[in-house]
Amino acid sequence: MLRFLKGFKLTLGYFFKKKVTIMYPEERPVMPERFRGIQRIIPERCIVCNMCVKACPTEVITLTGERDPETKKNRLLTYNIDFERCIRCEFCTEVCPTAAVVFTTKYDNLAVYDRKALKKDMAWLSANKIYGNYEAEDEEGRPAVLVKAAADTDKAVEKKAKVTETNQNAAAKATDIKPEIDKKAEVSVKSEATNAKTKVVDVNSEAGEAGGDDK
Amino acid sequence: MEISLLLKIIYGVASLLLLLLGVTYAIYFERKVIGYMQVRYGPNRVGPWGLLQTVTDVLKLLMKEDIIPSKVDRKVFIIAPVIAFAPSFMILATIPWSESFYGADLNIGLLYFIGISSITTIGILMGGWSSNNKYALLGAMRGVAQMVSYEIPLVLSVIGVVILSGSLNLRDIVYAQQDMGVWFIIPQFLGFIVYIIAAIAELNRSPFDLPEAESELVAGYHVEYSGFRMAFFFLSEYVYAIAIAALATVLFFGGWLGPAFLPGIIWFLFKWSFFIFFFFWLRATLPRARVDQLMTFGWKVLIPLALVNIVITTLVKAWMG
Amino acid sequence: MSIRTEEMILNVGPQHPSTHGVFRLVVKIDGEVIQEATPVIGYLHRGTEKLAEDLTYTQFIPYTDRLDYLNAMTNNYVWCNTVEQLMGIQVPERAEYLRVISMELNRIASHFVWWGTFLLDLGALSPFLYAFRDRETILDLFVKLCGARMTFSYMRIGGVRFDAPSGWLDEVRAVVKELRENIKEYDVLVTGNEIFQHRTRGVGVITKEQAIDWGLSGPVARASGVDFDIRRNDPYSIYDRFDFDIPVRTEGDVYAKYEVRLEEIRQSLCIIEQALDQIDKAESPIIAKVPKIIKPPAGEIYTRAEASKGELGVHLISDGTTKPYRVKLRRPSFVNIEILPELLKGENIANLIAIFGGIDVVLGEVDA
Repeated sequence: MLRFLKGFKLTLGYFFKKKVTIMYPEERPVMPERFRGIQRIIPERCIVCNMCVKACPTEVITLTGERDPETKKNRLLTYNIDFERCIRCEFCTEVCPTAAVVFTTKYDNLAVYDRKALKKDMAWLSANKIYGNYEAEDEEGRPAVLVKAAADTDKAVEKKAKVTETNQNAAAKATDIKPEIDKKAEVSVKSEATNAKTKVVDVNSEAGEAGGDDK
Repeated sequence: MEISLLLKIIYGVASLLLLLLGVTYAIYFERKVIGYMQVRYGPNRVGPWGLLQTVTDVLKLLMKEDIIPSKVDRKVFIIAPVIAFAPSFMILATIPWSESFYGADLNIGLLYFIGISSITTIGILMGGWSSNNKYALLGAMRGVAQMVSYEIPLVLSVIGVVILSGSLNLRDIVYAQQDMGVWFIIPQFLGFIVYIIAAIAELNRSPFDLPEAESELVAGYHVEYSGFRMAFFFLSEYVYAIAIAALATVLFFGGWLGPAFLPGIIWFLFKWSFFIFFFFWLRATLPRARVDQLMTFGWKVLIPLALVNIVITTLVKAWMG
Repeated sequence: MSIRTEEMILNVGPQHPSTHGVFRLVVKIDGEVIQEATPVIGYLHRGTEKLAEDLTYTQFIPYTDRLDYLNAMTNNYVWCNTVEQLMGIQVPERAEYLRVISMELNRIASHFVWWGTFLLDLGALSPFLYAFRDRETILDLFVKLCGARMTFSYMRIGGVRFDAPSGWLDEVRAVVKELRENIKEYDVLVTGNEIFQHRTRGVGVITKEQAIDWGLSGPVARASGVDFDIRRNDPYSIYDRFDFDIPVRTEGDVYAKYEVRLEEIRQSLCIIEQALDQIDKAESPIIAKVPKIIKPPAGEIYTRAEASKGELGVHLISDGTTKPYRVKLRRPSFVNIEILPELLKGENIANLIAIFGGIDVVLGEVDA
């Protein structure tokens, strides 16, 4: 009849226990490395392959590039992400073959007063240094998150290769999993666009929406 | 003559302000206590430890636009919060906070208390009816049904105390406890249980807070009120909580009685704060009862228990001579 | 003299604290008794099925996250499984184990949200906070695994996106132990509480015949005696390797649904423990060899999985190109909500909230 009295002991117990509140903004939660925060663009690495534009499910990325006549390489001129529509799925970082678009653990610098200011351009995006529980970049200028994630996967790959050394198929699969794993690439380039290296890159003229008004 | 009238007015205004301060901090402590029981801190940003939170809430309510919907019954709509609040302030006059600190020494103090507190029901009904809103009407109907039904067990439960002490005067009841040497909670334990349950139902607090069931009726009878008028309804609810807890202290826990190393009023406040904490504790723990279960419980369980209590008390008193 | 009475039409409107989303119920009441209830849905319709016709198969994965946002892993899984079965891709073992662990963790998280909000509707304020505190431990695990707390997009066609980071599996083990202890508190606080029992026993009874006729699934059907769970009756992924019970009750009232869901949380914890023991033996890639451009052969297929609300199915018609021709999502909340008008005839308004909470509806899933 009086079983409901047991609940009282529980709530009184919680009165004296430690609380779980984090006193933001004095204490901040520590975001793990894979946290899908705001993107960062490293323009020097971009080869203007347009894979990020094609992979994005909500079509928020627009970019323009040009071919540098001396070095015969492509150069990124403008790069815009519309954060009104970005759903933080990070497909763009997944498919980028040169890790020019990376995700940081920054999550709190998007508050603006005017909606137009949410269309961020290359200058804003390249200033998003990694923030949170690590800050350094490695000696090659790669953001620290990639080093760790790549290292984790490298370890997994090695373990796998050792275990299935006798099985040639498995070994072949292991190396196939990362086609052209060059040291700068992110894990598992799996996209449905065509291969970047062999395609002739076209200059994307979707520059109509290079919305530069920000801040 | 004018000086004593002026003094009386000053006393009245001062006690009103003191009461408002008490309500402010009762609300603050409710939020803190319930927050602590829910593994979180309550308000802790506004002012040191959040002490100014209720003050800023009240200021915000004062600064809001006074919206009166167009199809309401204007006179009734405007008067309803006043009728809901005024009785709650009036009944505090009879409570003896300590031996020398009381408002009015009425010989029918207990009757006055319970009688005047029923006027609030009219205020609630007026508020709900005049709002021209179905949710408000449902909430008001439920509220009136609940409050009227639970007044009967409330009154019956204190009759045992009246029989034991022989008077309706609240100070005499405390003196009777002093003479008997034991606080009335011990001989009147059944009456105390009935009183507490009926009091929670009278106050519209969890687990009997159907009239303002947030998740069912979206704030019930005061859904159309905004700004300071809504604050009046809340104010009346908290002042009643203070008053009922004070009455329970007087009737069952010996009022200001206690060992002499602390003044009487400190003992009173100490015992009273246990009641207030108990109300908050109940709100944090129990789910809400359903309206028909509430009515069944009140009429079929509490009233017989209270009657049994009265019979036993009468027999014991007659046997003891 | 007789008093003229009228029925009142009450809108348990789109903005309401207990409708778990934007859901409108137009209720005709006579006093406090419901004569008729008509649900109005569509306030959250975002055109997911139509949008699928213009997105590639991988691009659709974030959209599946947002159907039943509390149970996103299972939504991801059903979609990926459908495409994999159509293309005949065999998913590697380790990926399957990771999928099962994340799906079961997500089922537990979804049931926690249900428990907290159901009790909040009934008026108890504290269980909500306790449930969300426990859910936070699960979401912290997910953020370490795939980077997001609610809309994971973790699975890909052919496997999963990331492998478990180092130390994650031990953390899962610790969380499972912790949750087992915390769930005992739920029983202490709520299950034995007389007020709660009076409000939920015998309320909103769904008979077994009704459950089968209306096509209900999930805990709602299992509480009425329908002993059907896709993980056991029609196993998908690697569920046939685990040993777990399916809780079934026969009363069909809200209390039975409550018991079924709490028991499911315990069984999910068992499954996760077994998966954690078995995953160390599975050393394989986390994603199969999938062509870069996903083009399933032309054809149609329907696959299903047991989401926390019921049977979640995807019917896919492909015409051989990179974008699907038609995607139809069989969402469990949409089907479960259809019984509401029948169930509410003659009930009190107070019971309405308890019944609706017992069915556990998420509007993201009802409207898609």
